[in-house]
Amino acid sequence: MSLLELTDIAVEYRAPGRDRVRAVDGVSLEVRPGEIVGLVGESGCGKSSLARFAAGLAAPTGGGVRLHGEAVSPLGRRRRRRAEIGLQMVFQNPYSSLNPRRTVLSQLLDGVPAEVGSRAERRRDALDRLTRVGLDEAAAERYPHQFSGGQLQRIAIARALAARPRVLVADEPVTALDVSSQAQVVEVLAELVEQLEVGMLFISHDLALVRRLADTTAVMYLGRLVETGPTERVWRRPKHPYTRALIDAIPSADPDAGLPRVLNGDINGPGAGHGGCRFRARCTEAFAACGDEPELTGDDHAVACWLDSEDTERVA
Amino acid sequence: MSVDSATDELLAVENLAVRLPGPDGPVTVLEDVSLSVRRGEIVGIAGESGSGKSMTARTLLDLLPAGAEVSGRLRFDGAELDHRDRKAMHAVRGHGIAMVFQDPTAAMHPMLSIGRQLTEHMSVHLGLTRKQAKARAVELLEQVRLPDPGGALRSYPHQFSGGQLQRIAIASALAARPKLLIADEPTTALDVTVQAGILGLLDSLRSELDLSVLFITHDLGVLAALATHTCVFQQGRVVESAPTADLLRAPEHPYTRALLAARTDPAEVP
Repeated sequence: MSLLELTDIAVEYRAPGRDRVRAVDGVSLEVRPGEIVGLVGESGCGKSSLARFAAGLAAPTGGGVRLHGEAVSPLGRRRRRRAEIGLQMVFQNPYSSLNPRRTVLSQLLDGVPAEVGSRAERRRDALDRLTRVGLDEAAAERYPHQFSGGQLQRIAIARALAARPRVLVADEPVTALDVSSQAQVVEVLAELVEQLEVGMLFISHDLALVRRLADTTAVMYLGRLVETGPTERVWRRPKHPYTRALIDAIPSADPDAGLPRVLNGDINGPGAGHGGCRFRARCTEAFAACGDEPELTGDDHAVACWLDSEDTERVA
Repeated sequence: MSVDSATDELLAVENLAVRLPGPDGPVTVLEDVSLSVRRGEIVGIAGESGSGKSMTARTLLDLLPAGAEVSGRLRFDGAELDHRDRKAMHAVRGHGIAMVFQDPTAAMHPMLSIGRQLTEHMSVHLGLTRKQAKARAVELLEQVRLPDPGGALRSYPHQFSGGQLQRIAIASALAARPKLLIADEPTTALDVTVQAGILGLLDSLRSELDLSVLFITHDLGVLAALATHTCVFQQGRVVESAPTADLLRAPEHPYTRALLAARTDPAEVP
């Protein structure tokens, strides 16, 4: 049974005097308990839009979101019922996602459910979350400005966990941090997912980071999934030219590796969104068949590319 | 030191120390920092936030907060740089040393056209006419490989992606033909694919213009193929300084090893 299920999500944005923009087109994803799904793509590919729908912060134009089998719908001004809070988010910038004028403890207590018991018990619960992310209990009485970026992000994770979520959605949670703090935060996330059996959707533009953390990797390009599969398989045998380009762009600390290879063009460059495969204009291997849009096919390791198609007539 | 390497040297920093005023007396932010950059060479500075890497850059450009105490020697292009001499520092900024910052969207004025932002400082600093400045701006945008330079000059920052804006920021920094470009985490805010493009651009500018670059980053991997020499900063000190390849192959300082271990490298297959 999957915890979080996104089915055929589509989003269209409209601006006056312009054509409709299909920012997300037919994306399906699921997250199971204790599983980390990594969603990778460049800025502007629609990955953050997807996070917003998963959290019910906005409604997709088409498709549905289910959390533990129940449909998630965006709220207006109504307060979310406790039973509906099964998903928590961790945002990119901990400096702006925590309130600078409240102590860490008071922010953690916001999430602790009333069922936990008396004030003292809730306090103990909040402190427990804080120690789980590797911070000292003394941190509870301090204010956000007294911490480093990495510590703040761990506090943000503790706050998300205080509400006992079943799913965490982390949208570029370590992008704003140094490599060494990145490593710590990633470790904390991996440990917690295992201990608490929550599912996590981990969104990042850094494929190397996703490889370190995620069980399943989904690669997104211009609003569509182009490749999904078990992380190691996607990494070692990428099927889509875009996934390969993403791997090649990561700088290596090997002095003989040379400069990372550059992917031509721009995500919104000419040729994007004029029918056919969206990656066509930047793809080195594009051929005639790419004038039609490929579907995501394959069971375990799926790819949306004609090169991998068994329809030999097209490849020929 | 041979005569050859002495003339080849563009920037030398010796025993630089910087103290900033704090609530409980001066705080030492840099101590005993020495490094050198030759002409046409890219030197990397690596370290975490707060390690003093950006402070070093700011010291070179005299962009320190008021009340900062600077000691040590700075030599640039064969002459001593004196911090107390405001006029001399002003001449060096832009002409001799230029800088590119981490966030290109914050480095641009959102309501002025790219053309205006690129040409304004040219007419002030270089005394170019509007026509000359515009021609130079087009030339600069071609140098940073921005498609359609003419159209770009009429556009506004929000019409560009982060990577394109960083290219424009680099073009702007190159306007007065500086000898040294300080790039302070120029790719940290960008996607990996876009980062690869900017790294390639800096390397080709280095060889085309004989430009020296001081590249500041928290990711040692970025420096691997780019920088000939790397200095690792920790808490305001240089803890390791070596040719990049040696430093990556056989890191000597435990902190360098920790920095390397913290990153996920595409080359390693466990």
